[in-house]
Amino acid sequence: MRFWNIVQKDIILLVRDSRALFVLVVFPLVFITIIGLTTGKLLGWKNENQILKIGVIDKTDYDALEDETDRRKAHNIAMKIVNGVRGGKNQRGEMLEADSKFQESLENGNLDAVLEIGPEFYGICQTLEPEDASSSGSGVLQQGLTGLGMTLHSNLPETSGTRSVIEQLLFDLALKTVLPYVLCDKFHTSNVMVNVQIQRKLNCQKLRTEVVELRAPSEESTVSAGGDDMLYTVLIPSYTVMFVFFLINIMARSFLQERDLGTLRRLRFAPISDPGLVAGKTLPFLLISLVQTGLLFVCGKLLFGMIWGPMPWMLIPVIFATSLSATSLGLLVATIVRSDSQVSAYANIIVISMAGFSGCFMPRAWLPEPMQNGSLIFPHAWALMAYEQLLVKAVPDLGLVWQYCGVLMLFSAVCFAAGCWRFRYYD
Amino acid sequence: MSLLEVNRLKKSYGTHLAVDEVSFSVGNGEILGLLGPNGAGKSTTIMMLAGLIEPDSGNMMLDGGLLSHADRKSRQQMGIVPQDLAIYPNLTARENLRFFGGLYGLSGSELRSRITEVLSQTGLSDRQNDLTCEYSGGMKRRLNFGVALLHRPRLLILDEPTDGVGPQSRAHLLDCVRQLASEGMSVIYCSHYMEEVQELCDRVAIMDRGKLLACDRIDRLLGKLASRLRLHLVDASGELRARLTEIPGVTLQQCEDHLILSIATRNPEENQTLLETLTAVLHAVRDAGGKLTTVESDEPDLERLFLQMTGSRLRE
Repeated sequence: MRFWNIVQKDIILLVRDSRALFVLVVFPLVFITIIGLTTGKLLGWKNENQILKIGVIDKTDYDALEDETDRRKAHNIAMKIVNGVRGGKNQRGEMLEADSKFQESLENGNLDAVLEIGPEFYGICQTLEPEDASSSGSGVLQQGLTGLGMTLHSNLPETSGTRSVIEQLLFDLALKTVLPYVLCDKFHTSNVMVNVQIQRKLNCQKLRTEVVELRAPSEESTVSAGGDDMLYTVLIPSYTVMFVFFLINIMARSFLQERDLGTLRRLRFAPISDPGLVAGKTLPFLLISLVQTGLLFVCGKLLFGMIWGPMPWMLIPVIFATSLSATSLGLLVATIVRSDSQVSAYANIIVISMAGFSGCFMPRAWLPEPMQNGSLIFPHAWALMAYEQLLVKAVPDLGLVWQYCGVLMLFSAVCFAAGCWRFRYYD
Repeated sequence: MSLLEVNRLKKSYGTHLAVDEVSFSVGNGEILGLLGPNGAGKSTTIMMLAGLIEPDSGNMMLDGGLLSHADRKSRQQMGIVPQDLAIYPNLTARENLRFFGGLYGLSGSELRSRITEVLSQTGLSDRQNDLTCEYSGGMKRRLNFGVALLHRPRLLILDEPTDGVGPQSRAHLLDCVRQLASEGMSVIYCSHYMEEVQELCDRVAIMDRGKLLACDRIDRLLGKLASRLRLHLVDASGELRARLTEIPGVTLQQCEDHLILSIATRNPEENQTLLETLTAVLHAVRDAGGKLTTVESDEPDLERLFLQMTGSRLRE
């Protein structure tokens, strides 16, 4: 375990290196804060007058639903409505307990309105026909929220414009949520080409002419992040991934310093093998990277209200795989660059280009498809996709997350092997 | 019995032969001086001993065991003081020693006591908790030296340990080396400072262009060189020159406005000859009215030996 001496030594040196700490921890936090300030969302800042505060109570009688599929579907619809309220740009939503005493919140202004999903809501949904969405329908939906078995509680006057806006907003949301289920139920399939049938059923000629594939509504069984929180939920992992890879610079400089100080040669005199030496020089940076990511995520949660997703424990393998790929790439780069100026020139360009190309500066979905596909050669892309699954998706696909981690581990193994091979000639 | 045996060690880089069948040995408690101009092959030899470079042929035996390139365990018995400083400036002296001690397998109370001993030995106890970037050059050199002593190596290799060091630190280091050798530690001492090597070493190995030119006790090597007595004369007339030329063992050399007269002396047995020659020369000078301005004695030393063997000065 002689390599552990090198690990301890390098950790001490890193902790004493204020430049490294600034680049790895302070700089990303400052960066995220600045972005937060420019979007006016630092610490959840927003003009309270512009935000509608809406609570949702789900009073669906799940026990009365005999079939498990119905119970799941009813819960799924309710969750979609809750998440729809939370996901709006100008509203803040929260899920309330079924027996919640919300009246006080309405009176003291903590909530503008409360949407109650009544016990009969799911039953009504089951009776709906596609035609009900049109003006020629049966008229159930003509009654607005009440027709769907939902009640709006608010202390706002009945004539208030705000109340009307809230009511319309929630009705649209409910309809948008329910209709896909209605369509899928009626066509007895989960994935159908609906254009022709809808046109025939609705007798409507104004629909788009191309065939539209309607996918079955996805599962949403838990409360997801709201719109304000989502900014940081996307921003923090993106910038964290970018700054994790800034470790390459610090690592390369550490190797160069070791060489220039002559201590590398002294380490090679010592009774320690080359793999032990490489492990000793690499492990501290992996540990620092893990601490860096953990710190940024904790700060993200405490300062910016970042949401860690429905499966926070799954972040651990992603964080580990990302940090490992950064340190392995760092080892390879460190054994290639020959001078400090090369680190400044090449390593920075590599790190920033990889980050930009992979989607650290903007959501990957915004990138053109060729860029999305091309960026898959970089570990950043895989890390970002894994974080997206865990933090943005209401129901992460764990199979995909493990697959992304596997790719990152493979990348790490290749870089580490190449780095070890290069290290034999590094002097 | 020798602690280290180096047998016909050879290393080449492409067509350049860096070390050409070099053989030498170092006994227990012996200090061997390794001399050679830049590019002589000293560093390559040291790197092969340290396991950094694999020799093309030849072998090295340490305490009777074969020292292979990949053998890290045997290197535990070696301490190497590199020419350039090899300490961490952002660690204190104690932290540097703790790190390198741990690397050589020391731990716990043994490590702590060795650190204390080495700090005292190198005169750094008072500044042990200061970052080494705040040290003077001499203090850094002493710490660089101390690091190699921590694990009590049986063979200590010093590569230019006093380069750029003030007289006080230099004297301290040389005293330390002497002390260690007296305690049984074998030392290979590479230096450009001839007087240091002459003062410190029992034997000297001289290398040039990859070859070992000589390896023997210093007195034996110097014994092969003649002493010279040089007299500087002015106003030397033609008559004086003619008389001096006739005296056996005298060589003349005109240097600008004065004449340099060299009388070779080799060993004590020739003292009588020297007396006769010198008497004849002085009589001739007095009789011809010449003026004797300077008398120099040119004793054999390593510098002259080196110059004679390699044809170049050490720092060239």
